[in-house]
Amino acid sequence: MKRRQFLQTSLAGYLGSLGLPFAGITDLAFAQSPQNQSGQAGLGQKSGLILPASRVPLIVVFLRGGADGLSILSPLDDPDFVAARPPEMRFVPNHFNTQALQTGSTALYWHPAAEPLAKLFNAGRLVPWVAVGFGDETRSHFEAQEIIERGVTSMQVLPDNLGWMARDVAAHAQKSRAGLLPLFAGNNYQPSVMQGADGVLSARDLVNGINYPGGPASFRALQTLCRIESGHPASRIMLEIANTFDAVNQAFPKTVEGKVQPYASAGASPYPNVDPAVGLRSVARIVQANVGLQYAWVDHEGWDTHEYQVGRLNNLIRDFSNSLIAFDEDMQAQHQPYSLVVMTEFGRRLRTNRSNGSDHGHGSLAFVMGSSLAGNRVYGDWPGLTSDALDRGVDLAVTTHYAEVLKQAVAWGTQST
Amino acid sequence: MDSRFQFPPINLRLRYDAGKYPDGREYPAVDEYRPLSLLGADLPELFAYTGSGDQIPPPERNRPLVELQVANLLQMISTPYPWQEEWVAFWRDHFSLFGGDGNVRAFLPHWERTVLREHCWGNFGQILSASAKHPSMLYYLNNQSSRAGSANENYARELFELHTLGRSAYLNNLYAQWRKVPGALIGNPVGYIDEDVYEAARSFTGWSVENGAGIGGGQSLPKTGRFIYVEAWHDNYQKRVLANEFASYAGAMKDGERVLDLCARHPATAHFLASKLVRRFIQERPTPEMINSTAQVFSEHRASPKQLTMVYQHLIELAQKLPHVERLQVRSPMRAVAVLTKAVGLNLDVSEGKIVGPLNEAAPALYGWRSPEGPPVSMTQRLSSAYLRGRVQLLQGVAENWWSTGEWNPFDGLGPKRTFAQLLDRWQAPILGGQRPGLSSALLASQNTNPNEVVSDMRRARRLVGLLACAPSFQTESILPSVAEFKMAMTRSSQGGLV
Repeated sequence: MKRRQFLQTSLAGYLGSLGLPFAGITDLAFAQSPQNQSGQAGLGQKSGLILPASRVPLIVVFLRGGADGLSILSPLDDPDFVAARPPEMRFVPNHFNTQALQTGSTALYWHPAAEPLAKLFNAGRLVPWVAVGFGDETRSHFEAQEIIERGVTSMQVLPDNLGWMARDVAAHAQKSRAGLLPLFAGNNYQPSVMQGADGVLSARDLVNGINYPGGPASFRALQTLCRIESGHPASRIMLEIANTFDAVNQAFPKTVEGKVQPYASAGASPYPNVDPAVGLRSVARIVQANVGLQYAWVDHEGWDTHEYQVGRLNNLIRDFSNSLIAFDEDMQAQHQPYSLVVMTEFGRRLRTNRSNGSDHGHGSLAFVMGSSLAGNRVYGDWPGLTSDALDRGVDLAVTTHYAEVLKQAVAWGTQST
Repeated sequence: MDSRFQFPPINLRLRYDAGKYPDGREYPAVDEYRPLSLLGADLPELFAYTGSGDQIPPPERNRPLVELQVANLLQMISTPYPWQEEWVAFWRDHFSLFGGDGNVRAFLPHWERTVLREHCWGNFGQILSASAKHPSMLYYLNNQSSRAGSANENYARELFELHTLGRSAYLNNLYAQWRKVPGALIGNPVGYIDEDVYEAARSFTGWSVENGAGIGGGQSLPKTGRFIYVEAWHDNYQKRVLANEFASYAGAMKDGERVLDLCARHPATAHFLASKLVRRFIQERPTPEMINSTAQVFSEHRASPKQLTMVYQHLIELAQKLPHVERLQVRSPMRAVAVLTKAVGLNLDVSEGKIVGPLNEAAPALYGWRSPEGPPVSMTQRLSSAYLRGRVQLLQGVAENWWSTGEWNPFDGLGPKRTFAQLLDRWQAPILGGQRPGLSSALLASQNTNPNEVVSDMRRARRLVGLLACAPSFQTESILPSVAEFKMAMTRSSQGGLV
């Protein structure tokens, strides 16, 4: 692994300028960050990730399973890539790839199903960030997801029992106005990133509001039962949720009959009825309702392509690209500033397996999308695919800590207000 | 102990429109009530439900899973031992499979019968071995397509991390070479690293499914869905797994079986399983002593054909030392329905099948969790906003007969001039296990209902009583039996009382 290259990256330049000695990426990003030293928001090994307060909603779309970044933006001309992947595991560049993206001396080509991403990139609304990850050598989905969601350097050192979004909301509670709904998950389950926060609303599809069975009378019944049984361990959890449902539903616009109006995108591209678009449409609805949203999280599952990778990625990339462009157009049409980060737990092995798939790797591909990016270029330092540049000789190395991507997204989002 | 399905037979509606197979052949519309015939089916019969050869119309291909979901609900309702069902559920989640994949889904009734319900009271090494050779697992974690040369690592990795040693024994961050792992040089490494995953993946190459795939020389595998070891796909050269040297050409399936054995008997496996079991059945934040003693029982009875029964008995003994309120777990939606229907005397009719959808909104559906770590179990996650909403919908829907599951008499045991307050007082104890002071009047106030008014509308009465089941205390319980109940169940099953 070429850890030294981390020192040369554009964003880590400030670290290099401090003349730091050779050190693991984890130590650099977490312990030595200037924000941390000045006592400002940062991410210390003891405190866990705390981002600077964001003035716009920060949304994370998480590609669960370890997305193969090497197939989304593909180094098709790189002889090491060509040698490691047989022809059926590579693609032929499409018409919209007339000009490859450059990272260092390597050219990257968009996947044929990623045309919406190319459009967003050309419009300066989306930037790719290559070789993102963390220093820990884990290739376990669940450990890697947990490291990112808890906002820590490694699962061996846990500062608290919180997910980073829950931690951030608590840390900024005094400074920011008390929002009704600081956290929203566009899935039916509560992700670890919100672990420890109360009253989290997790709902994949809010197009028709919350549709609580039995209507408002049923809300009131649940609230009453929770109060009567206030000593019960489940009572507090249930009461928080009941109150959140009630308040959020009230914030949605109603029809003359008093029902929640179906949500309609203000953008030209409709939200496709697939993940992650359904969850993103719900985020858009929450943003529009103006209930103090600070962070949202939407999962897109199914990226663990150990076999039949080509066909599966084609569908996944198509859905995910169409979802992102629909969300951006909707937000733009509403003049709503935002910041969105796409990330995954790790990339995949450079060499593919004989099931026409690929196994767990290390460095991954991230994207930042938003209303005020310094766009039109590839972020992050490309470590290369020669065997001495690969992490443990097999995987794309990591040159940017995932926390740096999140911090930059917050910084760009703040500029847009 | 016998956890096979035991419930009165039913016919479940199957309904779909006419359509065409991809090759243009037509299949007719179907609307009929069919017995749950796939629960006892063998693999070749279920193989057709993968869609192979287009013998089963596409809208019918999820029937194996739907039958299984309905069967689990019926079993939960009719069993005198609901704690056995929660034990089966633990192993279902431990070896979690995703039924959204048609190849996995087709074989699930066989998986549940021959892996989970057959072995869950037996020996861990045996349930592990049965899981490794089952087509649902071979498809789900892609081992069926793993070939010598560049093995598919999916199964091997999850075998270590999720099925056996656990993620706290994954030491890849600390060690890059096998010999550096503490204990490796004396053949007892404390954990595993990626090198072990790679070598284990090689060990399982050739473990596949008879699915018609070509095996060279113009020959193909038969289409039965059965496990097969294909020698030509196996990597026969020497390996090293958990610091144990494997000789080259060890013989058919020997490499893989040896990996399973090494994993099943590793101390980290005992600890990982003990930790999961105690958290699931006793409390979310157990003491280290609870975990250690459970791991010790697991290890001591490693060779016993009743290893897991012994572990269960130990869990019960541990739980009995704790006050009830400290060992509450969230009731599964099926269990909640079973308790509610029993409390109100409703003989639930599921033949329309319409209750399956709402059941699957109240928690992750059975075999509906995509990634192999299985669904989350903490109270906060099981009562997340979406699942809580689904839970309230399910309980109210059952109480009010939204899905043609049947009606019950809310005025049972009440005189003709019963008031709303009397109605709720009547049903508190059966549903909540006791009276809550002030509950009836507060609940009625929240519904703008005068407690002293006479109630005559049955639907309104059912609705109000159904709301009682939305109380926090109805959502949890400590499901473990007492030691005495457990021993009685064991005696009965050894006498064949359950069969």
